[in-house]
Amino acid sequence: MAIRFPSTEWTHAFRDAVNANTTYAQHGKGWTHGKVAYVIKADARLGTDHDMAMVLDLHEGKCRGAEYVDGAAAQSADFVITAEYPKWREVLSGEVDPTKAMMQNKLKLEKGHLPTLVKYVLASKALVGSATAIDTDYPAL
Amino acid sequence: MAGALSVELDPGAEDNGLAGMLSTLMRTNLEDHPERALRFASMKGSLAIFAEDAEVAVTITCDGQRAVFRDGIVGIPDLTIRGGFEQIGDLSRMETLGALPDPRGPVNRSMWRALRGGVLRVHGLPRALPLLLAFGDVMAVH
Repeated sequence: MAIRFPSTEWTHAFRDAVNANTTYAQHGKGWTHGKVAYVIKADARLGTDHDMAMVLDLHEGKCRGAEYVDGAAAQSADFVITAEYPKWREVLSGEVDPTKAMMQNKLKLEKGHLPTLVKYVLASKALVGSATAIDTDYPAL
Repeated sequence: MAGALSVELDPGAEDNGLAGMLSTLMRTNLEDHPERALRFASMKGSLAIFAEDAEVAVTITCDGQRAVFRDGIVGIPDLTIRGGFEQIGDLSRMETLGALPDPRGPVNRSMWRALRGGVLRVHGLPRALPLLLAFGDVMAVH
């Protein structure tokens, strides 16, 4: 059964998908740079009147935990990436590469050390690619 | 930021993600590696980067003290790099062996294949080679 995006259930499924992704394990094995938050801007289509976020506790190629929280709570993460819902849908469904989306200003790095993110670009790509393994119910655009 | 060096994003480039990324990368690298200020100071001229499949371009104008990132291709750049977004993204991940590119590096080998296959094109060489090498040194993330 498809899991509604975004939600606590989807975030936990994402954690499991990341941990099952051997490509991410390979490229992310040196990652000791902290938590990554994906912030989804408030959107009536999602039934949210404020920003929401998925915070991933990433460490050495594994996801130690994942939480679905208010956008404000996500600001304590080491890396904060923000986008509107339709842009997240494009990236998480595999339609658009995350690096390309950043170049096009669809995804914005609000917080975090960009050189580190660039160094781990293959890990970032594999990380979001994990989402394609989830049977997802995306709200209509 | 070391000394009086300045990295600026032109107000017209605020919605250009590539310009934002590259200017942030340059600024952060100069803060993290003050020794790169010498390479920055040697950057004189204009450099355009066009990520063709992302349909986004940026022109960087450098005078040795200041680098300004502008939206699109502005004027006639001394050096133009055109390629796919992956090759453009890899420019700062190229491996070095001392002061030279490491021919065994997987990113370098991928870039070389892209150059030979025409996926990545560099216009303005050899005249603008010093600008290209200095840009690569300043932007490197290793």
